[in-house]
Parts: sequence; C-alpha cells; structure tokens
Amino acid sequence: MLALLALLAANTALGDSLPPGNEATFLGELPVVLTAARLVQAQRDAPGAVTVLDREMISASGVRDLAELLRLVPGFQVGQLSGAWPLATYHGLADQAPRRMLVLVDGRSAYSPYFLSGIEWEQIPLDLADVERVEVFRGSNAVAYGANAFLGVVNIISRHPADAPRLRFRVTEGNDGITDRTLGTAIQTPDFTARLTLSRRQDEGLLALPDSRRSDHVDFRAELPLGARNGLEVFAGLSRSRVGVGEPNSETDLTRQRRIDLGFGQIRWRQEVDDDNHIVLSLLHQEEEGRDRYALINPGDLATLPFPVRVDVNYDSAISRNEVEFEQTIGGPQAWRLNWGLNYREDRLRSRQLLGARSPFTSRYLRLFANGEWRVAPDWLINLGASLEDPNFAKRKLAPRLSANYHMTESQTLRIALGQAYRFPTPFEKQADMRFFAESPLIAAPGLVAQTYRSAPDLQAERVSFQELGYLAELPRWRSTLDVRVFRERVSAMIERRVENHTLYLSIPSLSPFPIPIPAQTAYFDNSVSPTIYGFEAVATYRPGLRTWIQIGHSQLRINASDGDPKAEENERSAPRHSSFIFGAWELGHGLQASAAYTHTSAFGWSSGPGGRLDDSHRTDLRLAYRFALGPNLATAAVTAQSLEGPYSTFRPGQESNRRIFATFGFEF
Amino acid sequence: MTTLLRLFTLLATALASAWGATAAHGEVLVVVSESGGAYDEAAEAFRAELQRLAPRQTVVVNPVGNLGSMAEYQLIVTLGSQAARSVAAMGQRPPTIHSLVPKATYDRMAGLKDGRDTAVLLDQPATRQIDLIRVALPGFGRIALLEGGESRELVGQLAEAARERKFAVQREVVMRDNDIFTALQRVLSDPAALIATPDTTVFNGYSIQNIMLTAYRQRSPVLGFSASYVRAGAVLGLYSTPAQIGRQTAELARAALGGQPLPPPQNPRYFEISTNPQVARSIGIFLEEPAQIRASIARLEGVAQ
Repeated sequence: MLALLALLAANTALGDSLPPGNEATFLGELPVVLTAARLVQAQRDAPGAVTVLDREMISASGVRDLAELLRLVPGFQVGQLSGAWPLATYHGLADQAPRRMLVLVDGRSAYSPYFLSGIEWEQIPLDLADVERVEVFRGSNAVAYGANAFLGVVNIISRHPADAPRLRFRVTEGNDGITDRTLGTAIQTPDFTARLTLSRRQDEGLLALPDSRRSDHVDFRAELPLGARNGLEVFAGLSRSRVGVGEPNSETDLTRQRRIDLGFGQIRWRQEVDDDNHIVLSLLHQEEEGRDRYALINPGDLATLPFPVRVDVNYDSAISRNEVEFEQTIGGPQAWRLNWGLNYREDRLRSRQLLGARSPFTSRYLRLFANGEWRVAPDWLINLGASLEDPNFAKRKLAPRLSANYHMTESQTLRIALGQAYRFPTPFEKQADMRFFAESPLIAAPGLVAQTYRSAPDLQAERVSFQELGYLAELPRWRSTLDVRVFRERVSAMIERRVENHTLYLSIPSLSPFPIPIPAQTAYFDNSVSPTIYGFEAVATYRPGLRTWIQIGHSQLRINASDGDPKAEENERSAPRHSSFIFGAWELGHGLQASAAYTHTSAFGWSSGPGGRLDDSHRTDLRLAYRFALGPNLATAAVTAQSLEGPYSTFRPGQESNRRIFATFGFEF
Repeated sequence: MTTLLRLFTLLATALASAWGATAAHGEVLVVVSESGGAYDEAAEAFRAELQRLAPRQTVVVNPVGNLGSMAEYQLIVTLGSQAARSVAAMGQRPPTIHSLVPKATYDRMAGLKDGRDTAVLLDQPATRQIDLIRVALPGFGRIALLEGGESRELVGQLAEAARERKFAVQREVVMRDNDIFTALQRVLSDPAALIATPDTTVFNGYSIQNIMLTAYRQRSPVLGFSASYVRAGAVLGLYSTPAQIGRQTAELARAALGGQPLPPPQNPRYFEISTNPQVARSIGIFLEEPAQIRASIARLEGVAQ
C-alpha cells in the first residue's frame, strides 16, 4: 500500500509553481493544512449544541473504549451489554442495540445494518491515541450528518498522519485480564504522509458472564498532497474480534465464541478550487463477516419430547457496503456559505437466519442535502438546510432544519433551532424473518418450532420534530465556558418492538397422528407510539491550561409516552431523569497529571429488551499520569482506577462491570 | 509553435542587449530574476515610485540572463536572489541595491562590498513580529521558537525582543527533520504563539502540516511570514508584498541617486498583516481587523504607513 502511495505521489511534489531562488520561501504557495473541514467549528457559530472532547481529555479520562467517553457528555447514557458490546445513546428510547444516534469515524458511518443495528463500537479499528477529537452534536442533524443522525451524532475525527510520532508503542495491563497493546508508526515525506497503527484490546468482560473479548485492529491513514490546493486522503482499517457471547444458564442463548471481521477502504479527494469553493469526493467500500453458529438440543417446549431433536442456530452474516459522496462548499464564513452534496449508499446484507428467504437483502439509500449559512448581520447567523432522503425500502422524506445564532455580546450567544429528522427502518426491522427449525430422523422434514421475529412490510420511517434553545457563554478571560440547552423532541411513528402470541404446530407422525402445538412468541416492529422528550442540559467548563480543567455537566430530562403506548412505563423510564458528571484534570508539575471523572445516573432501564431497571448509580474513575522525556523521546506512565465504588450494573441488574485498575506505559520515538 | 516562441525570445533578447549597450549615463538598471509574478510586481512598483520621486529618471528592466556591461549605469537594482547573485558576481559595477532577497541569501552572497552594495530584505524585523503578537494576541504571554541550522541568529533576536517585551520564551533546537515532532510537543506544551521563520530546514512545504496541526491542537496561534502561511492555517501573517518592497527600493534608489551613501541592508518598512479569523475563532481567539492591527504596529514603530 505504501509503495502504491509513493508511486501515486511521485509526480505530485509540492511547490512546482514556486519561483526560483530562496525568496520562494516568502513568495511561494503552501498547502492548505487547516481546511475548514479540519477545524473545530466555533461553538458560537454551530447550528446546535456541540461538545468537543479533545485528545488531552480523552487520555485524561482513562477510558479504553470510545463509547465510555460519552459518560462525559450531558444527556448520554452509557452501558455494557457484554464485554465487547458497549451501549451508548442520547436521550433514552434504546434497547440492547441503541440505534437512534449516529457515530461517524472520519465521515464513515459506524451504524451497522446487521440485526438490530446500532453502533458497532468494537469494530471501529481506531486506536484511542489516534483520535484527534470527538465532536458530539447533541440533537438531530440529518442535514449535516445524514442517515440516522436522529437524536444525536458522535463525530470522531482521527489524527492526521503528519501529527503522529514516527514510532510509538503502548502497553496496558490490569485486572479482569486487561491486556492492551498498541504499536504505531508514521512516515512523512514531501510526497505523502501516512500512519499505521496495530492495536489489541483484550479483557474478560463483565462479571458473571462468559463475555471475554479480544479485538485486533489495523488502522491506516495517508495524505497525499496533489499540489497546494488539491489532496487525496486514504483511510483503511481491519478489525477482528473474538468475543464470548451467550448466557451461562440460558437454554437457547448458549455460551460460545462469536467472530466478527471487518475491513474497509476509503478515499477522499479534496480540491480547494479557490478560497471560497471547496469540493470533496469520497468513495468507501466495507466488508463485514460474522461467524456465530451453534446447535440446541430439545430447547424450550421441546424438552418434553421423548427423543432428541436438534435446532440449528446460524447467525453467520456477511455485509458489504459501497458509498459515494460528493460535497461542495461555496462562499466564505464572513457573509454566506452554501454547502450541498449527494450521497449514495448501498448495503448488501446476507443472513439466512435473520432474513430467511429475503436474504440477501440490498438496501439503497440516496441523499441530497443543502445548507445555507447567512451572516445576516455581524451578530446574527442563520442556518437553513434540508436533506432529502430516498431509500429503496421506505418512502422518501424531506428533513428540514433551521437555526439562528444571536451573539448578544462578544462572549454570549443565544441559539434557537428547530426542524425534523427521520430514521428509516433497518433491514431487520422491516424484513426480519427469523425462524428456527427442529431436525430429527423421526421428523420427515425440518419442522418450524419458533419464529422469533417476523417482517413488517408496512414499516415506515420514524420522525423526530425538535425545538431547542441554547445559551453559550465563552469567557476567554476567565478561561471558562457555559453551555445550556433546553429542548423538546417529539418522536412520532416511533418504530417499536411488539410481540404477538400464537401457536405453531410440529408434525411428528411417529409420535402422534396430530401435530403437536407449540406456544410461540413472535416479535415484529411497528410505527405506533409518539413519545416526547424534553429537558435541559448544562455544562460549565473552567480550563486554565491544556491539561488542567474542571468540567461539570448536568442533564435533566423527562420522556412522556403517548396515549395508548403499551410500553408507556418502559419508554418513560428508558433514560435517567437526571444525570451529572464532574470531570477534572490537574497538571501537578514535573510531568505529573492527575485526573478524575465522577458520574451519577438516576434510576432507569434500557427499554424494549431484556434489560431490567437499574438503580441510581455512581461511578468514580481516577488516573495519575507521569510524562517524561527519555532523550529526545516522550514516555508516559499512568495508573487508572475505574469504578472505585465497586462493581455496578449498566444494562441488566446482576451483570456487573467490575472495578478495574490498570497501568499503562507508552513511548513515542 | 515552440520554434516560433524560441525565435521570439531570441529576438527580444538581442533587442534588449542592443538597448542595454547603448544605455545613457544616469540610468537605473533593474535586473529581475525572471519575468512575471512577484518580480514584475516589484519592478513595476519600483518604476512607478521612482518616477514619482524623480520624474526624469529612466529605468531599464532586464532579465538576469542578459547582463551586458554595467559600468554605464548609475545604479543597479536586483530583484530576487538569482539576479542578486549574478550581479554580485560581476567585478566592475556601480552601486547596487539587492532587493526582494531573504537575509539568509544576502548574508551568504560573495562579491559584496559595504558602501557599494545594500539590500532591501524580505525578512521582517524581530521587534515587529513580537509587537504584532503583543498587539493582536493580548492574552498570550508565551512565544514559541524553533531554531534550525539557518536561523540561530534570527531566533536569538526574536527571543531577545520577546523577553524585552516580557514574554516567556519556549525555544527548541531542531537539527534534523525528525526532531520537529518532539520539539513542537515541547515548545507548545502550553499554548504559545509560534513564530515561523524562513529557515527551510525547519519550516518547509511538508513540515508545515505537522507544525500547523500540532499548533492547532495545542491551541497555539502561528505567526507566518507570508500570505500563504495564513491560507495554510496560520492565525496571523506579517509580510511585505513585492510592490511594497519595490516602493521601498525606489525610495532608497532615489536617495542613492541624490548622492547619499548606501545604508546597510534594510528590513521592510512597509508591511501587510493578514489574519485567518476561522482558525482563530476555532481556537478561541478574537482578532481585530488586519488594518487596525497594522495601524497599531505602525504607531508603535512611529512610522506612517
């Protein structure tokens, strides 16, 4: 790959247009490094509430998984279904596969089309140290982020290869079998820069569950400048996970190993046509394969049969994704700016178990988006945009969005935003056909013994209509910011899981002339209820230095179920009514930094799934890090303690995350 | 087509030579490193300004490839390093102003004589750079400097000017390309204004990516020495346009033609400030308009622009 890049870059040396002689240094062109797309949008001009977690915050938080970071963003709830299955959502209404929030990694959606969908956190091959920053957009924004940016968006931006050390390694060891390894390298030549990181995350997962995980990742990113105003970005990644799944005492969900392999390649071509006209074209291909098969002998109601029958369970899956996007930004930030583009995505999902005869299913999705930003006066900024989404599996929808930012003073901004966004049914929600057959020499043909999910042909997109009021105070003199958001989000035609009871008949002529009745429960999805979420969030930050800060966040929210919602209570309790966090770091001098994160979450329960009600919980994490120079190299030694209060449940009562203590040593050449 | 073009160039050169050879005493010869772009802009500004100051003065502009005898000219002006080197190499010649050259080039040129040669350099004075940071970034008490093989003296001057103005100075030596990463981590461990210098061993077309990205992440504004720097991501740019250099060169030429001795090499008198408000805002810095900043600095220097 590197050789290919070198070849590609061979004829594209910078500075072809430089005048001869040394004055070229003064008069020549330079590549545009900090393009608008690379900048953190100034929060005062953002069309919604944005929380940015930068690299210093990520390392001080001590987290080993990206999803855990979201505990430090108001309005988020984070849990762990099992060792390799983190859960995170914004504003509740989520089951064991939260899917009303979008995660993007360098523009690539981590939203899986498989099974219940949601975010495949474990399959994101990015090492935490290669995360430049995480920008969390709290609220809907289909206009800017596209499909599934329903209640919130987590936008992960990776580190530019020119900003990575030539060689680094990191080792983490701790209790619960924590064994993490990272080896990274970066190369910088006049023609291209690239970085390559190999990493492994390994631990034993939750207590009382056989859910150990081992995930190996390869992550690659290269930048090839093709002149001063033109460039190519290449991203590629591989992820291989071996995770323990199943429940120790379950009759049907046996404990076993699941293997998930994912690989992707993405190319992004950028051109700055001039200072006020930028275009980006990107292409993505991704493949994912899951291996998870096992067999059950006389499960459930078949236990009474006098002879053995075998039920094969085959969750093997194969997914391939192709995506192409074109985007153009015209105009400058001073007066007006138009951003528009087209996105086409095709997901092909193969899984006989989930989709039955409908496998393989190909979903196609086309999106046209445009957003205009007008600085109508120096202190007023208006954003008006819309996204037209046209999938092949549901009716097309137009999602508009309007926001106005009023800079009351140099340091204070009021923001009002309203609009709509849609979430289209996932392939499984719409096309599910999950049947299990019993086989035995005594049965003539495999007999249907369970259908856990059926399709919902009429299922349509669910909609959220939102209104928000934001207040932002940025006080550079006091090194402080205060960000407040008051919101109301009404979800209508929400896609929700329903269960119907019926009876299946298994015919065993040798046993009985009559078919044997088997009581069955089949789940399906429908659009019926319309809950409303409202509340407020506030975050105050005091950050006197890059490595010293204190941040306090609080979120208060209510979910009101609509009339006739059969799961009213479950939905209303699907998010904690209040949650708070305090996150601080202190630079102690001599390279020492201490940091602490405390979160409090009031009682809630993940909805629509087997999760139960979780009690009020507290969690405190501490980290002490020492950075020192070894010759011209930098080294870091750190000790992190997570959940000092002891084990606690984050998804199902009784399945607890342990208190963890681990040490990390890192070295950068 | 190519042949035609060659023929035309040949003819043009022959004509220019003939004209050069018959130059009258008292003319100013401007030697440009190449035609077009910055050189033409400077030459044009030089000619216009000299015409304004001394309406009867004639100016001849020649490309560097066509240097005949120079003895008959009263004053030579070179624009660009290549022209400067070529002219300096000639033994017998009138007083010469080497303009539009970096200090590093001028300092290394052979064949220069005090009193006969001087320069209008592209390099901004250290004090002006520090004043700019003081004026434009009032909250920044720290200045970060990367010293390379070609910039020890300049970095020393910057550090001294910074300390005189009560700045804390973070300074690291970069001897190899590979040191830049670590050196940056060190000088920017706390937010500081990073001053880019025209030392290509440190600041060049590809280290710029690393420098801009690291500075940005560390919320440290970069002060660049060209408009390109600002486009690339520097929060502030301090530079002189070729026209401004041409104008200053004309003023110097006027004095020399009036019989005054040539002064030592000069830094630019006229300068531009440009800003990148997008990057600035993104790291929490509010900037005044470039014109206001420039006026403040001019006031500090006691010079009317």
